[in-house]
Amino acid sequence: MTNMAGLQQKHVAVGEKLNTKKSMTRITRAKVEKSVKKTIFVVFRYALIISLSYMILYPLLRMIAQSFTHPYDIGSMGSIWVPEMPVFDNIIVASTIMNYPKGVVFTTLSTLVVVVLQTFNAAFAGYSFARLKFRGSKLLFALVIFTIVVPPSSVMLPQYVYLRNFDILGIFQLITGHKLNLLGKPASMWLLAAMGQGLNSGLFVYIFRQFFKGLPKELEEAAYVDGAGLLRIFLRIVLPISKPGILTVGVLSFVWNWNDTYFPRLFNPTNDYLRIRLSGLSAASGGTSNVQLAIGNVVSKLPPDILKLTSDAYDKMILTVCSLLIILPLIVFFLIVQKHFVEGIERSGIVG
Amino acid sequence: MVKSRTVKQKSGGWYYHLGLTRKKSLWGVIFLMPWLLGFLIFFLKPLVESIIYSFNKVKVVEGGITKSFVGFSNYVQAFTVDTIFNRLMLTMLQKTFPQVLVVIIFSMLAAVLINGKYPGRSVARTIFLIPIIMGTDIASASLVGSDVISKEIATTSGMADFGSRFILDVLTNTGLPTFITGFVSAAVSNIFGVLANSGLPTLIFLAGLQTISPALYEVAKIEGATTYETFWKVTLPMLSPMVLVSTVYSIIDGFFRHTTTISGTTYGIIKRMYDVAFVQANYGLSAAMTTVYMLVSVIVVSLVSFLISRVVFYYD
Repeated sequence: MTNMAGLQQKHVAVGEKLNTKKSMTRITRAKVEKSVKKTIFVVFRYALIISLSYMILYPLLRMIAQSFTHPYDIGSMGSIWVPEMPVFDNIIVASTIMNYPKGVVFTTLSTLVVVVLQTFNAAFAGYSFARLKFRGSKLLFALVIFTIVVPPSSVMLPQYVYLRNFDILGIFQLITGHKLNLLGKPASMWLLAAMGQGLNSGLFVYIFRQFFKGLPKELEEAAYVDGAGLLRIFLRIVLPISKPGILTVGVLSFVWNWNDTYFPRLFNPTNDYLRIRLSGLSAASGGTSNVQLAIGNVVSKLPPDILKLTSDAYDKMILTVCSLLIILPLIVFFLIVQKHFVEGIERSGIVG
Repeated sequence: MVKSRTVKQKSGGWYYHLGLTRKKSLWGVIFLMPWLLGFLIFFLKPLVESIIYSFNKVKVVEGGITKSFVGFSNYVQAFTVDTIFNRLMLTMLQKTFPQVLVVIIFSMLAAVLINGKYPGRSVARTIFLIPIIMGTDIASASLVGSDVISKEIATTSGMADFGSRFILDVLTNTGLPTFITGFVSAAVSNIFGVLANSGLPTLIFLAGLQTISPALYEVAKIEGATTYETFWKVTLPMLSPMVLVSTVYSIIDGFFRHTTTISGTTYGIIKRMYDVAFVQANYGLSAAMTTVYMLVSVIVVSLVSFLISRVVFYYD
């Protein structure tokens, strides 16, 4: 584009010497050509953005549309996007069979604890790798990468056995007479998160290392000259200016842990986790579907005149509503933090 | 921590005499201690144990486990007796690579799109980062639901699979090799899987774009490079380290979330290992499966990162 414009201008310069009137028309033609090109570019860009946005939002929009669809209208051509007879019954049924309010509170709290522990562990480890190098720290960082590459399921069995018979140097056995069974307790997941072996922990250490490496060294040096210890520098100077990095890791950790089924299923398989509840509901069953069984269990809690069917399509619809309910808190959370989140990404330079 | 602090306050204590480098090393070890202990207790030891389990018949009993050595029979069983595992491994390798390729191209395009300056950019950014919160399973669950509906609509209106079949027809008629047409139609039919997986790679590329110095673009402009040339000669080389990071992440993630449908039932590779261990109580077999899975992951990731790192351009 620039090349073409340059050529045009050369022409114009030559033309100017020969004929001023002719050059005038040439200038306007070049300008028009340029603005047309620009318009095409802008239109094309917006078309691309809008169509891609549509594809990204498609599952979400479909879920929302389905949530309000009247059960009798499933598959009806009139109710694909805007339900003909919008109802709240599906949402009531779905939230009742998921025990939604309790699930939201439980999932939020247990996820938040994991997020805080995971973020702090990763921040300390990342700062150590970025600034407080010691002999062997390069090798240990290579091992961090190794933990990212090796799937967590490779260590699931021994971890399971270990947490079932948890003990620190035989202390618990001495005091209580038997080893601690941490399975089925949130403590097992907190322990893993605090020790840097939670969901995607290796990736978070990596992100923090890159982030801290990008911070200006002068600030820490000045604090050191002023007499601050290394721990104080980290807690009082580095952490407060690292909000973008902490936000990036915190948001990713929150979202991933919220959506995760692997860790809860292995260590704390309770239906209070919304995702565990959903995977239980959507699991294949021999006879009556799990959704119908769940509806049967809570039928006394439902209003007597509520709409419910016993078809396969209806079960699928209820599962869709459940999925929407699960990510609803995430969407709200994301809309609140997204501006700072994207700014954080820009300033953090998480990739170095 | 407390101890070293008290020592520090006493002038003449050993900490006081340490040089800055030594102090840094000391604190480096202290800062890393939680991670290091976690790595040893919850990663390295279990990893070694898991490999040992895979050569044994393992039973969980009260207060621990018993194991008896059986050689390679768990591995033989994983590949020959368990009919689902080998299929899952095969489809995992088949499906992940094309998907990762499309994900990387798409997320790079998405990052470039949301990086420019134009009215409405913040809305576009929010939408393009939504795949991060959606989660692959949720997106696919919602599509299964709408799949039932679209199939019903398709059968009632006689438009069964119109879209993807149309594309396949057009491509077959162009005379392109079958593997290319297969690849394109697979990519098109899997577009929602691609979109759902593109969240983090888009984020990585966006962060990467932010680190490119504007001076480079200025120079390119002064030298008379076109927008097209600038993309290939400036943006792409500067983004190449991010290609490495996001490819590795996408492959690992793709493996981890892999599911395949065999005669109507959907199996997940991780779910399969879990079921073999905790439903069938065949711990040795499960350990053999995880070991195979780990070896495949490590080999594939090292190979891919070796190949990519040969073309990666590092600015500094």
